[in-house]
Amino acid sequence: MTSNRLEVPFLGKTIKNPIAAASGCYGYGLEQPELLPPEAFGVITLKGLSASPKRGNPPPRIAETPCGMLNSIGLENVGIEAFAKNTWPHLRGLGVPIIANFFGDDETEFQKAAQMLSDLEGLFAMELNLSCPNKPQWGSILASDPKVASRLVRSIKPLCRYPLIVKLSPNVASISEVAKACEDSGADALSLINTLLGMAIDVDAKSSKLGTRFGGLSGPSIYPIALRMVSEVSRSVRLPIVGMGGVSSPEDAIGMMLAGASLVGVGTLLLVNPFGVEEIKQGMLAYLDRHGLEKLTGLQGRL
Amino acid sequence: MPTSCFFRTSTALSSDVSVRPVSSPCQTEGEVVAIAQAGAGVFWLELALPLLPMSPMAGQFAMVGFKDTQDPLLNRPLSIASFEAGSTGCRVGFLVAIRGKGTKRLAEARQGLKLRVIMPMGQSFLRYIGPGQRRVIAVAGGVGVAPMVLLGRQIKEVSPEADFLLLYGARTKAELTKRHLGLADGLYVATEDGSEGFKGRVTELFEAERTLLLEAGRSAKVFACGPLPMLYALNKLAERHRFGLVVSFEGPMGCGMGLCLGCVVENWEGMYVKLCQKGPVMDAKDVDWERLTRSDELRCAGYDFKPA
Ligand SMILES: Cc1cc2nc3c(=O)[nH]c(=O)nc-3n(C[C@H](O)[C@H](O)[C@H](O)COP(=O)(O)OP(=O)(O)OC[C@H]3O[C@@H](n4cnc5c(N)ncnc54)[C@H](O)[C@@H]3O)c2cc1C
Ligand SMILES: Cc1cc2nc3c(=O)[nH]c(=O)nc-3n(C[C@H](O)[C@H](O)[C@H](O)COP(=O)(O)O)c2cc1C
Ligand code: FES
Repeated sequence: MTSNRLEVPFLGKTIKNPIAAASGCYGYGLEQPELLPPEAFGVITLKGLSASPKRGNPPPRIAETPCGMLNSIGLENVGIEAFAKNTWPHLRGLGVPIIANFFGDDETEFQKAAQMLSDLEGLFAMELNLSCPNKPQWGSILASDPKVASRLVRSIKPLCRYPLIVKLSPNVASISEVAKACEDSGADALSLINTLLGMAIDVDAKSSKLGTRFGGLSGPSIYPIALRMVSEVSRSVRLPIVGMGGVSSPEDAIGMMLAGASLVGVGTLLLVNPFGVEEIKQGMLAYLDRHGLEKLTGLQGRL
Repeated sequence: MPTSCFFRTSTALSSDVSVRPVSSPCQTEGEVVAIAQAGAGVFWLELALPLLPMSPMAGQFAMVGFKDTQDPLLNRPLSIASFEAGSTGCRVGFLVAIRGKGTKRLAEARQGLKLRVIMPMGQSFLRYIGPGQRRVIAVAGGVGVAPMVLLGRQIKEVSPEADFLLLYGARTKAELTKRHLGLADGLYVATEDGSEGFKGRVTELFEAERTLLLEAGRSAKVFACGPLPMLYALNKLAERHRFGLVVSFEGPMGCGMGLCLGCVVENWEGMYVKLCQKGPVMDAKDVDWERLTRSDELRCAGYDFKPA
């Protein structure tokens, strides 16, 4: 089907559909080329990358919760150098805009990562992860303090050859204040939400179900919170928003757009139901028909 | 030093995509066509699927999940115990032990219920044998017998000369599954309480029958699936008597598809590898068993390790 009814504009480019693979739930985009082809997505966000390789957290790294899951992957990744050499050449040719999600353990590492990613040819955008709850030593400070976020964005932005998306944490007192601080500091777009800090206890073993004490909650159970935050942020900034958190149906995705998202990220859905991406796109087309709309553009609201 | 590096296989980090799955899995819908008790706390589940472009190989698994609820959310990994392709569709069978929320709900499924099925995933036992293989000995503990049922069907296709012996253990007679075991050329049963067959553990049965079992010399290959202590004890025997051992591990999984990095285990070099893609079937020689048994990480990962 070559219909362009789902096309949406984002960061100066026409994206063929609003569905974005969320970081960390679609690997580096090449793991399941047949089961879940990269071409299904409007854009693909890669698993978080850092200047040097990261080992990640000890297993168990996943614990299921009612209608959701906790993860403590801990940002394991091969490092940008190995990624650039082994993976990027295969990804580049796919024809799907690629967003590289990145992080660092401190400001210098963030800067280094931004520089290294800027050396790649053909990225679409870079997504700065302000908020991984698996890195408590800095996550809580960076993510929740608008001043610290602002300083980081100001120091990273000049190093970025590609548009800079800042990914916000929900584990903050006021997400719109952090959003505004990022906008004022030069961010080109925002994405939200990352996972909510949570915990699960194995009462028989009397220990955490994860290898770490806490993990990040994702999946359908966080959708109402994500929706509220997208709505709040969309009313306080002008930047385009990638809305995500628990999206698992066409209605969820359309709801995200009505709340103010330009693109809709899907994460946990991909781990459970790879067909979900196609189901959402088909459901969006049916919605357009039902509402007598020709195209998805214009649907985006500020509810 | 990492506390538990025990997989010697790969030099690649689990997040390195140069490691590709053997066959690309398909997502499809499976309709429950048969569900029946198959021993205490164990049931047989058979699903009708549309035609698939490939057939699963023994040792591979499926991710099975509910379409009618988001709780439980994640698909569960289950070894493929039987597979038959017809002209209009195929049938896949699983042997499932009731453990927690997901398997309990699965046990209550009615005929006609439609489940999400993603398969086949992971490495198979078959890659470890060639046409010249004279004997394959499968050692199974509990529902670890599931992949051996499919192995019994497929072994003669790979190695027509091979005779296939199955050693099958459970705690009691009630827990034994009798269905679909007729495919072995020889079936040896052990129960811990002696209520059926040999009294003792399946590994003790192996030791008792060792001379007979390994009569074809070192060319006998031993495949094993079951609780970790069983695999550990068997590896001790393999080291002592120098036979080739291939084991299948069960560990918690998120996606089963290599996307989430949720299933990692450490390899020999202390690097994390994805069990869903590098395993679940692995050569015992690639595993550092001593570290494995000391591993707190592994115990946390759902393995209840008590040295045999
Ligand atoms: C490759 C492989 C093949 C398997 N084959 C079979 C089989 O043929 N028959 C069978 O009965 N069981 C099999 N298992 C184990 C089975 O997947 C678990 O018993 C099941 O996932 C438990 O789910 P639950 O909802 O009942 O338990 P819960 O404890 O409620 O599960 C909660 C979460 O933990 C995960 N989990 C818990 N224990 C395990 C485990 N041991 N392995 C994997 N995930 C776990 C679940 O997937 C789920 O996400 C296999 C596991 C693997 C990895
Ligand atoms: C297994 C897993 C790994 C993740 N890894 C990352 C990551 O590396 N970087 C990041 O910014 N977000 C990461 N996330 C967060 C997701 O991108 C997303 O923001 C969050 O899961 C909410 O969306 P969902 O409910 O659709 O999954 C990860 C989430 C999961 C479940
Ligand atoms: S990567 Fe192995 S279960 Fe997700």
